[in-house]
Amino acid sequence: MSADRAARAYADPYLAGAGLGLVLLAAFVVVGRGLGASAAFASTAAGAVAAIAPERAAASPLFAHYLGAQGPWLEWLSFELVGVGVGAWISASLAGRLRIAVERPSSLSRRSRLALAFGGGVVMAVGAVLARGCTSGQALTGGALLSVGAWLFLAVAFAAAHALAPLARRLWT
Amino acid sequence: MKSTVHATFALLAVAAGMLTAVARNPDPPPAADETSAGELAQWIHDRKPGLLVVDARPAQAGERDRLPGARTLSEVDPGMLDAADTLVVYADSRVDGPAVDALRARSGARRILRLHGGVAAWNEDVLFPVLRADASPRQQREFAPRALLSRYFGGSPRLLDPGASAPRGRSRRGC
Amino acid sequence: MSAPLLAEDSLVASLLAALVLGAAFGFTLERAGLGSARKLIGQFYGRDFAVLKVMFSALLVAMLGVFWLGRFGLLDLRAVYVPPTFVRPQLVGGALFGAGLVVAGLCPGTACVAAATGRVDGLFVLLGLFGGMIGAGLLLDRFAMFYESSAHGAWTLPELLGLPYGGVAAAVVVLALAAFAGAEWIERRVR
Repeated sequence: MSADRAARAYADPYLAGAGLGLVLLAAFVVVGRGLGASAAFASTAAGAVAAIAPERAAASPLFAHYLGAQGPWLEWLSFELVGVGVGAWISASLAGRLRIAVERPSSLSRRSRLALAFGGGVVMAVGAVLARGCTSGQALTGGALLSVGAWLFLAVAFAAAHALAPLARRLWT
Repeated sequence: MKSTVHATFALLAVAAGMLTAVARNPDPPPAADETSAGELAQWIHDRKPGLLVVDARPAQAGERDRLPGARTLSEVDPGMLDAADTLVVYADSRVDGPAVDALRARSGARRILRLHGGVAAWNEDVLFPVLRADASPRQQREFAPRALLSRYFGGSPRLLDPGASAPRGRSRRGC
Repeated sequence: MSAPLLAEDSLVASLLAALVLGAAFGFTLERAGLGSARKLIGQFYGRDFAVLKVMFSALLVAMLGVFWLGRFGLLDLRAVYVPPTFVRPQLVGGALFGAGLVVAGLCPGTACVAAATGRVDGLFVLLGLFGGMIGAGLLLDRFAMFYESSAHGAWTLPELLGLPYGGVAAAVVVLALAAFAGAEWIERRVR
């Protein structure tokens, strides 16, 4: 089952955005840092690799960062993402939007969609590693703090996505 | 209905934006009865007449970090207080009220000011000002007077390696 | 200054805050419909600008909030973590990220939202992210020089441009409002 049903009552994006802004502000005030996501994956990957091949993990400039201090399994962003899942679940339950499904255009098979989702995820991971963050950590958080690199990332990521969209049209229509 | 909400948001954003542009600085502004470390440094350098700087720190602070020409609370006598025109009181960061009030009672000085940020601000802004290594030529030129003043008071300007300027206070972080 | 409220070393409290803040984060994203890849991708096909509206609204509120809390002495800006700038890696990383995003239809955060609400495609994005991280981590030492290049640490636009913080923030407000106006106009035309 893939097609969207008739108009769901999503919240007004400006309102939801303002709410999100307050959550981000609360993060600055309570813990002195903003939101994020990609580092949770990096940290978990670091922990996984360290469990299997500790020397390879320690030799990686990416993994080594997460193997110090409190270790890869107590990464702040990992806990935050667990929270994201819980909050999303609650919102979807309340709105009747909980549904096992593969979101895809009708022209695409389930298998193809899942393969593309996986592949897109791999490429995004590489991008997020180089950029030290993703749309939540750099574009949103860094952007709100007027970080130069965050705004560069935001501009280039959106430009690249828009530039590639025509080529990817087959995937979405 | 929705467009009213949107219009209100837009108006609020515009108003907030204008106020923010006017405010310029996200740091708390010095109060009316405060002076900044930079301003005080310039006064001392220019030998501003009638200036008296008073060190209101506890006795165990001793001579350490004392501002040039400053007198301790115990050293200050009525003669000095009468001669003073501008009295600047400082402590480690904030001067507490009672010390200032006591001085105000004893002194005939026209203006009693607190040093905004105290010794910490003096060390950071005057003695050891920081210039980023990736600063533009214009920013380097604007920094030059601060560097001169820093050396005048026996401090040294610092060049900040930009790559190292990352973790402001917090240790392991990522996005 | 009273905030940030939690000290650096209060790990338990900090992780608890992560859960709560994350829940609020996930809730708002799902409310806005950004857990749906098909809705999200509409941004890049000029159909549905929810991504732009949510992101810039959030950015505006947080940016102005930080400024004014700082100005009233309620938040110590110097103690807030600013994500570091690495110009070249972020330019390349941004391009790659955007490319991956338009293929996957979800970013790391929204993929969590999607997966938590039952969308299997969201789950596969998460798996791809995990796999990509392992690969990138294992291969990164070959690109270590590039990875560490053009580092500028915590670098803000006001510092780069030599303009007052408030002025830059106001310019961002103008930019965001212009983007909103443009988005509304395009959406009205498409409808």
